Amino acid sequence: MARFDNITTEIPPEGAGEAYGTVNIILTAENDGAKVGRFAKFSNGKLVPMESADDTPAGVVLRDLTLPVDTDPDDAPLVDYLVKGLATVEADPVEGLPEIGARLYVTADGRVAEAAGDEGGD
Amino acid sequence: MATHLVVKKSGDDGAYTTIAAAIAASTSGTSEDWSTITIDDAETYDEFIDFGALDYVKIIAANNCTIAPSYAAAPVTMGSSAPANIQFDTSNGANPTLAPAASQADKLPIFAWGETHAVDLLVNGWRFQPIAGTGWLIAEGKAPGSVLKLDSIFALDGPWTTNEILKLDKAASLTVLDCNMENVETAEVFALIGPETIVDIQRSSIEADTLLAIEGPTAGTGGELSVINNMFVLRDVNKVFLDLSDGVNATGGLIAHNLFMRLGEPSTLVTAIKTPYNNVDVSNNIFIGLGTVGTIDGAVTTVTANNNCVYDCNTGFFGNWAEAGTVITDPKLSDNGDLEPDSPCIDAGVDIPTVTVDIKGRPRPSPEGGKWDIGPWEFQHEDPGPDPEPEPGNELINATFVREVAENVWLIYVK
Repeated sequence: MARFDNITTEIPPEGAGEAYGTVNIILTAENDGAKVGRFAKFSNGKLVPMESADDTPAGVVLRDLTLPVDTDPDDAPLVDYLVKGLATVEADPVEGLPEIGARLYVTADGRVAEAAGDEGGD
Repeated sequence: MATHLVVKKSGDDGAYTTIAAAIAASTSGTSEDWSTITIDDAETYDEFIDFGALDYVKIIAANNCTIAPSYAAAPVTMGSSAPANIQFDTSNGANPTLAPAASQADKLPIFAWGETHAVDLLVNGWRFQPIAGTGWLIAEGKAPGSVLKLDSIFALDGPWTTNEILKLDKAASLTVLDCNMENVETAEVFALIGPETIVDIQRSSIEADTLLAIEGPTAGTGGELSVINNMFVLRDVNKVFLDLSDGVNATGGLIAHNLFMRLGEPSTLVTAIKTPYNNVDVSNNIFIGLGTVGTIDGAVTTVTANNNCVYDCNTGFFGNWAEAGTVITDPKLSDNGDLEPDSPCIDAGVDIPTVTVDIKGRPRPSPEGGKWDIGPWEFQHEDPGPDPEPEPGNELINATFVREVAENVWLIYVK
């Protein structure tokens, strides 16, 4: 089992959607509005934003640093998404900091939260 | 027919102004209908309480009164001409005090009865605080068949005797529940009893050289012993704290979940338990800083010692004990009298289903259905509760938080 609690790499306080480590599984798919740094689901073979608790997350949409600077990453035609491994995500902590190691939830808009009951969202 | 009288120094509402006057006007009650005398003010009464031939009489303190006679005699006497059933009780959360104040008093009991008529005395919720004299004890009564029950008693600092605190030579039973006797620390013996006395001491803290001194013409007749959930502080004297050699416990005994502790430097002198009987069960106790934990007296085949914690003692169970599960390590007691979360005593005791609470009255075992802890305190495991149920809009996924890297941005591990 990969050790995920002993990351020695310096992680800058950047935005969500960055992958870290060497044991990640990252795939590529067409994007249809999925947000970088949030969980997305598949619809008609494309990544789309999460919409409800019944959705099955496909993974975390990653940033693509090769895109032209004036491109909205959420509008990129193709995006990488992380299926397994380490990545930064938009979080929606309910109260204070989440417990390290706690299992997390994905809210209806693809953010992560420590516990149920907070949908967050824009 | 029972009488129900009220005492107030002010005499308001027709109350008696002295306890003695109320007793003089009382009649004996019955086992179904006790006579009562309610002291309903917070005054100090400099008088004795002599029940004479009265039976089934209950003194109830409804306020924080103090009974402080200043003459050298026992403050409370009973059973002078017939057997007596007497109770000292409280109501309204009162903390009344018996505070004898005779400077010339020496080795006088607070409660006294004679050698002829058995007394059944219950004292519940009162405090004892001698404030003058050279040596008080709590109770003395030699009448065979007497019964003494002390419940939730607090013995405060005072000139306590250096001999026995309870002198009950031929008592049928002695019960001490939820009592704090740490301040009678000068006493060599906590209770003098007979070999026929049934002893039940639970959830109490006692400091003395010897817990029970058993005297009688025939060793080993009748007595039974339950010493459970207590905290005993032993001094550095060459004595056996609980010596059963002289008679108690011919019909069985359980010494469980107690702390036997020598304060300060470990002593090589103190012996905690000495028994001549097969049927003594010494289990789930903690022994700290003693010379010898247990010895056997006489031709005993085996006695039981299960799952005790022994720490900083010179010798453990010496002799032919059926010993199992002894833990020789620091029990890790916290400052507030409890087990530290990493104490080796947690869940390390033998199951004793008859012991359902600890010294603080908390449930044993914890959690319910678990194992008994060693010692007087049961570590209270927190109930983790059920796993949170996802609410609509939240999907539990197989991922965990790892580290926060920016505000509302977390590194997570997706499995």
